[in-house]
Amino acid sequence: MSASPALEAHALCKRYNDVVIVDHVDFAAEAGRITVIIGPNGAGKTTLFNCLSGVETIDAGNVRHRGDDVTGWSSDALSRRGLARTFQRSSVFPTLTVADNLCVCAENRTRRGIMRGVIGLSDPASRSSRQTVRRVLAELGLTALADVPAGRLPTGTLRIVEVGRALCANPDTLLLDEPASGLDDAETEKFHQLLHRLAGRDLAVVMVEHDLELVVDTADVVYVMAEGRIVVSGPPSEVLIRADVQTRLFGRPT
Amino acid sequence: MLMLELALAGLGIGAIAALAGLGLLVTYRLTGVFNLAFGAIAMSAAYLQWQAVRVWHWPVAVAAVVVLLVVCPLFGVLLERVVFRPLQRRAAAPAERLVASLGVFVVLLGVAVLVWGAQARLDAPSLVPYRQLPLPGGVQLPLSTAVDLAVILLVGVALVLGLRTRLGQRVRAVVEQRELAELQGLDANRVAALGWVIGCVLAGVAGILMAPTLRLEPYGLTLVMLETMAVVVVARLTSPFRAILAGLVIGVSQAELARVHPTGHAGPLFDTLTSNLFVVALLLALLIVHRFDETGSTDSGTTARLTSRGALTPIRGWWLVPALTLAAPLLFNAENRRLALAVPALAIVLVSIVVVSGYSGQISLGQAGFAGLGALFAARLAAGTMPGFGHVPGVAVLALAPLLVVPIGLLLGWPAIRRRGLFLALTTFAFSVAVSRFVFDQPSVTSGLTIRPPHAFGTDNNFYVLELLCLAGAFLLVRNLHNGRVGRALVAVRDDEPGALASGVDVRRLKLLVFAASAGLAALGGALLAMGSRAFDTSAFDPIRGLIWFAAVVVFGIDSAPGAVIGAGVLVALDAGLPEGSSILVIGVCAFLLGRMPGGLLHSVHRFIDHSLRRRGASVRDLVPIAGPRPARLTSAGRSVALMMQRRTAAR
Ligand SMILES: Nc1ncnc2c1ncn2[C@@H]1O[C@H](COP(=O)(O)OP(=O)(O)O)[C@@H](O)[C@H]1O
Ligand SMILES: [Mg+2]
Repeated sequence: MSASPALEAHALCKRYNDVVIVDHVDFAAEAGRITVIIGPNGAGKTTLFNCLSGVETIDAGNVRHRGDDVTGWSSDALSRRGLARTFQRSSVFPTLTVADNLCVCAENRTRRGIMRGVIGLSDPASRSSRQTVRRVLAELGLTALADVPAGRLPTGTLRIVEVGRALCANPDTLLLDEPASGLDDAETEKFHQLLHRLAGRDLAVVMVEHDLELVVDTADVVYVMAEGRIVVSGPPSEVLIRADVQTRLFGRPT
Repeated sequence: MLMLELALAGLGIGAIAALAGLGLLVTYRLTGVFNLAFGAIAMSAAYLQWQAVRVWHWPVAVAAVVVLLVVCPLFGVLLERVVFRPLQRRAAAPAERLVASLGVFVVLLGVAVLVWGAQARLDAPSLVPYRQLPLPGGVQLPLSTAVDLAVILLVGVALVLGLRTRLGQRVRAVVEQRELAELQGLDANRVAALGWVIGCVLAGVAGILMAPTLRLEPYGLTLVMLETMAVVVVARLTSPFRAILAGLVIGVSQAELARVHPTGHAGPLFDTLTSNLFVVALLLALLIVHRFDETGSTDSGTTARLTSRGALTPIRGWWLVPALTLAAPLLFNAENRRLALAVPALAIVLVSIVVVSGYSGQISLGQAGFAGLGALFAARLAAGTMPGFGHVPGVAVLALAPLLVVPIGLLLGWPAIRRRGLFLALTTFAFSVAVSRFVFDQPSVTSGLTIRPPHAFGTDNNFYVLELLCLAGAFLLVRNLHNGRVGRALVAVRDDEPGALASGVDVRRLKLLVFAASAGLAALGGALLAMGSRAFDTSAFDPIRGLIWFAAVVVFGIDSAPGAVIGAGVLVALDAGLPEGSSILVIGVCAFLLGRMPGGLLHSVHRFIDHSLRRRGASVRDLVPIAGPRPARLTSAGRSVALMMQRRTAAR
């Protein structure tokens, strides 16, 4: 195991029009672990993800990926570096087929070869990207849907497609924003197994999740976020039974 | 003394611009549609006024009342009912609404050219008789300026008061959140109709006031009116007060600067800049302001919704249609073939729009600028008067001219990286207006330029073959941009930009690439267009022409290169066979109907054939496991947490 965590944030701050949304957040996700962020709606979880993945600029603090300072890196550069993510509101490409959705991510792991395509030469890496796509499709059970335009799929399936797309980046760190919303029970169960397989491959999985059953079943570390701050973090067995956390999450202790 | 009088004259123009801008702003705030047609509405009102006064000999005041208080409001209501309400009802993307307003624009323009002809008229009736009002201190105030100022004051006060009332507050709520407002019992359709009525009336007033100070001419007057949108951009589509102020300030500065004539090299440039201050302001404002305060959803989106979503099974041999369109002229007689020379050239220009707007989803209304620059560079290269180049022979011109335009495309691609939708549309349009005003309209740049086909391709037949070769080359490039890795990445950017970024797509580089390629293609098409007509005619590359081209591309399928070829054929044929303006009218009417033919004309035909002739294979539903909504489990979640913890520990 390397000394530094896969993804690490220190004193991260983000404001929108002078309203502080993310407030001095310290955060670390280790390879091979499933880290879950929970918190009420509007706590700033998605915004935190956006800051970590380069979608939003950061007002203060820094982000480290595999020990290197990547503060201010753009989202596409981070993706090519191995920090992949999904969005809370699905961001698959509706006019592309499922396979092509994955392919976009697989073949843009490097920027080389774009100009070759413009002048009509074939992409040297296209074989390996197609292999990646095929492997991921099979792993997620999407092979039968490979040639269907993504725009025709139901939301639950789109979530899986989006996870698949992120996996095609060959990431070492995976940020999933509410990946299980819209999945039915059987799909959730399969998804749960997938998460463990990924963690077993030494991926750092970071996930925002509302479904407490899934959290309890999967999380190695839980961060509780409220009003832009990390209230408490630790193993779920310690964190989730705390009365103050339950107040935050459900309004009153039980 | 002179300074004061100039300022007063400038105030007049400024007030008219402010009026037009206010109309645009109010329509936008009340309907969420940036009404590109407002320039054409102003122009049409001016023509109607002319018709009533000069042809039917109505008294000026009666004509004005009928045009402004009857025709314009009715037209506004009609627009809302027929064009925009259906779009609103099916929650059309902002890009679709922009294109619909472009359709209205093109229809009005076509009607004007068809009915009144494209030639200029100098006798636009003035609303008020020419009279000077003496002011203290010996200054003379023209009565017309006084009226302009009075009108803008009146409208401004009415607006401010209107927004203060309770009704005004609730009306603003409609714009921000339509559903919410409907819950409050406010009829959003009525509010939208109000927005269209106010917008049309103000556009009409501005047009009727502006026409006497200029010539009455369909393209020219429309363009001048469109330039006044500088006022709205400066106001960031929000503040009416700022719009009025901007109009007046630009008007006065323009009048005052007209007095200064610096000598030397910079002289002519300075004169051009000052006499086109609205264009300068528009360009600067678009470069400085990054984002509008847009209504509704924050992302005015791309053209993704205009494309043929979800592929249909291709009809075998359908490519024969564009191929035959292109082959037919080889069999024409000499006269018709000369006319047909425009088809491949125009097809290349239209394909350049397909590349940038169809494949990658960036609305570009500025292709006329690139096409014109291509023609200009080709003419000067061939004549040996391009600075820095000697005499360039024959066909090499066709390679070099587009290459010279590519860097300019890169330059425009730069702002496009951070701009999308409406904002990008306006920026590209402003670019084409600026090129037209500051390059094409300069006698020192364009006068006396001749251009003809390269020597070896002198006959019409040979030149046509050369054009086909160029088109084939263009299609090769386009194919590379549409297929494979680049094509997928472009569609990804078009469909979902954050998603594309998250997938590692270098969006910045891709956009630059696409703008550069598209600029080069447009330049090639423009050069061929000019060679075919054997003249560098600046009116062929008027910014308005760019808008019509864009509408045509949307109609024939924004992401279909073969569609662009068919579109070029149809446009040229209509122009050759029917009175001037008919082709514009046809495009406009089709753009109108786009709401009912998503994906464009050809795609709709295709879908129709598909549905009537074929049976679908396995439907998607059969393949997808049915995903029902999941029961909420959060209600008792707090209590069950401890339980689940125990279960988990036990399981390990
Ligand atoms: N682009 C934005 N501009 C202004 N406020 C925003 C923006 N994005 C999110 N917010 C605000 O930030 C807060 C946190 O949002 P979000 O991160 O989506 O919360 P969560 O994902 O925890 O539900 C919300 O109050 C939201 O209104
Ligand atoms: Mg969220």
